Amino acid sequence: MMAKVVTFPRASATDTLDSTQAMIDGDSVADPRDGDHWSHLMLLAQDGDRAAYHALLQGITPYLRSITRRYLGRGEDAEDGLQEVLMVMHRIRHTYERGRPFKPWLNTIASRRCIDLLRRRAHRLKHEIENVGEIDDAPQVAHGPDEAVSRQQSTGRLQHAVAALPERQREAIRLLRLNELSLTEAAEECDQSVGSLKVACHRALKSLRRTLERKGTVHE
Amino acid sequence: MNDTDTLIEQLAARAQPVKRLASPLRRTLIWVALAMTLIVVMVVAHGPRAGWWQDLSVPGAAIEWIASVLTGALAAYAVFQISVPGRSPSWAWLPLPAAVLWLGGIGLGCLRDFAQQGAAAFAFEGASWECAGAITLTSVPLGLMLLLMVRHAGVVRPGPTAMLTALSAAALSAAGVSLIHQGENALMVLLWHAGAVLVLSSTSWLFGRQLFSWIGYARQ
Repeated sequence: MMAKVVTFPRASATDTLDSTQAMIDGDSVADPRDGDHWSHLMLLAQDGDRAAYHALLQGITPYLRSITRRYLGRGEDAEDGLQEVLMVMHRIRHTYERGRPFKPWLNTIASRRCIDLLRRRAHRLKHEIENVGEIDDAPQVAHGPDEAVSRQQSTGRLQHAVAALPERQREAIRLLRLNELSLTEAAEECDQSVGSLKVACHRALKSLRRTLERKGTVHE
Repeated sequence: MNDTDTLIEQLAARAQPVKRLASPLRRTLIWVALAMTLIVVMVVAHGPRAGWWQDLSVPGAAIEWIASVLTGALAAYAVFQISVPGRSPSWAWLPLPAAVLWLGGIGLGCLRDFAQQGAAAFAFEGASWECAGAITLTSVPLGLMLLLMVRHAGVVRPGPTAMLTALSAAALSAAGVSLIHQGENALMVLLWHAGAVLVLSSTSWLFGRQLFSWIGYARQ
């Protein structure tokens, strides 16, 4: 299960840091893209200041979005990429070093992640092209608006079935199947053990299969 | 609230204090000290070869041996530099001069052997492969130890980091093994010592992503 969403305090350990506090309060006294301020917020975040970390994540999001859009285009992939960059940054936030510029640190993480995603996209495309080749070779059946409608309905049912899963199972499916995280990464993201995540994923798939079979949308 | 906002809330809620990385120099010193301890234990357990001290008192041999230790230490320093996001990837070239000096020293040894012994200096000694085996066996635990220390590099520069990790571990191992094995001509030293280092480093480069993925810090 993902961590519980909490409301962030407006004041915290940043009492002595007027400018930082102002940023957290939303009264931006400086350019929010200023690397020095982000650096400051990150140092506080490394010490466990959640409000500072929240402010930092909100502050860097537009900047990161511009990077992911540059690499991945303006579609959903860019937003997925942005979320992945945020997760990676969270995971290795201990590598930010006091006194070093923040933006090069962040840029390296973002660009490396985007390149990985592009690589994965190329791999997926190649795979899909191969599959299309196989489909083209196969006997042609039912191409037309009816099939398109049927597929759309199947997708809708699948989305409903996923939404109806218990939270733990839904989370497991989201992390392992949709975000394609490894078991270790997913376990870390949702604060579960690898074992319980496996069980949740297994149960979720079983439950989905049962639901979809009932609705007659599984074609094997 | 969209998915990214939700993610930011969740990540900020999990902002536990983290331990910042020590400086690259400090981490290099720690790792080199650990590696040297392990190698000294290995040499003492096996027993150094007769006359190793006299051999090292010859300037050429001493420079060659020191260069191999230096290659290992500088490669480790480069690992601790390039594994941190935002630090220059050019640090990867740092061990090159020491490596050239080391391998050049062995190459000069080949020429010296040839001048003294003629064609006999290039006799193939199959039994010398044990050197490569010993270097590999020592390098694996040392390399894994170093990889764990820079596991965050899996999302930054997995290939070059893994390559330099292997170079560092193998160069220090080769320095240790050269105190144990004896009776090889310089060509065999070049073949088995440098060969082992080359094979380990290039294999690690190629499978860097998989290595870090196995540790849990990169996706394949």
